[in-house]
Amino acid sequence: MILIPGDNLKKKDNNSYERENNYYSKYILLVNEDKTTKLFGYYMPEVNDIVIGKVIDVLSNGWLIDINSPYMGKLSLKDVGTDPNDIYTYGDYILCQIVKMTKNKLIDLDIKKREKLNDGLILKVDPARIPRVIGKNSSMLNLIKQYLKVDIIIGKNGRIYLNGDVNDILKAVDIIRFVINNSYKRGLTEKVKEILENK
Amino acid sequence: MVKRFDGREYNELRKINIKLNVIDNAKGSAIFSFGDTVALAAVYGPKPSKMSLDYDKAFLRVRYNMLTFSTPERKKPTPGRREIELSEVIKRALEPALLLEEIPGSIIDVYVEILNADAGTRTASINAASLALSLAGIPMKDLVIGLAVGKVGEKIVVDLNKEEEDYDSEKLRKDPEKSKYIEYYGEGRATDIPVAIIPSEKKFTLIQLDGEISNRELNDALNLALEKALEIKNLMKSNILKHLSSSGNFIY
Repeated sequence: MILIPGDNLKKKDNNSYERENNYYSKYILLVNEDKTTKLFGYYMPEVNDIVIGKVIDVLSNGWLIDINSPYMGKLSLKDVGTDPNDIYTYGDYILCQIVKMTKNKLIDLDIKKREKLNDGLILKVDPARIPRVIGKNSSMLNLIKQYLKVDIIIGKNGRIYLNGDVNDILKAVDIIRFVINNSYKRGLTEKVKEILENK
Repeated sequence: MVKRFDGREYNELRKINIKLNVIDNAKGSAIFSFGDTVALAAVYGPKPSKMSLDYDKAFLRVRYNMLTFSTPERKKPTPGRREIELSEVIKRALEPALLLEEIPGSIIDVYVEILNADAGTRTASINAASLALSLAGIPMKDLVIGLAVGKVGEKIVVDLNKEEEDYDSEKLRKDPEKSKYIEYYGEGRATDIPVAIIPSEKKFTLIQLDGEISNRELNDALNLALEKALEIKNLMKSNILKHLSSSGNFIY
């Protein structure tokens, strides 16, 4: 069942607001046996999340990173070291982890992987559907990796990095688009397996 | 039996047309039309602001613009007094329905373009913008519904078109073809009242009034608006469901 903002919900959860002891939905929601899922959304940073960030400014003591969310992240130079090879410039994509978040939503990042993610393809998808691309216990991700020779890194903020054989990358992009567009079909993993076997 | 200029009943809306997610680059977008009035809205964000984060809610920025070809005579593309005013009016109509305190300090941009104007552009803009906001995943209490009610002559009607907005029984009398409409509308001129409503709370977020109307008539008109707002909301909901199932986003 699909709810739009303002529709009645039975119980309180993250996707509802309260008015006069009743709960109402605040997003376009998919409801499945009391479990509600957002269909469209933005990425809200949380500590320990792994995200793919883009350098948008170079500061004297670090970098300002766009993490595709309402808030910007900051990466300090002291976390990276002083090796000139580690210096990032405008437009570089890097894999980061959120280590600290203050009340004022100042986000401290640490690098998860030293290398830049510039040599592959960055795919931007709706952050609300990232869990489906990963699948239960990363089953979907493993399935794609099993059939195609590609490196896939998924940032929780809606950016997906792909690297490897060009033809396999294109196939993987098709598969990911399929998963995103059919994200609430049942038995999606089996369907994806079928497509992968035919390719 | 004489009816309104375009053959509608007093409580009949113009034909409503809704298209969702028409712009790929935007987070959410929608086209909403009341008859010949067509509004396109696109939402970007929430995105970070470089300003201080000491605010307790997000900034909503609305830009309303009429395209040069939207009116019978070419409109100058520079934003004038009217555009700036309507941007603010639309922003204030939408703000009470949004839960902006959930994303403090960020910026939400709403761009509204009028593709064709035939009275009621601000109400169509509000509808398009609230659809686009919901598709962008911005937390909101309810969809905001905009519609116009008014008094044409002595008759309370809903969703006025341009011809009704310019109604004047004195002028009409000189026109032999149209003088029959005086029988339906009555003497006098037109009063246009655009309103915006949060249907679930029965709350008005916008009331503008241009003309003369008595207290009792205003009450009748606003009640009519509340009733019609629910109708528009149901239509919006069915369009959202249709869009989700046709685009393959949702198959249960």
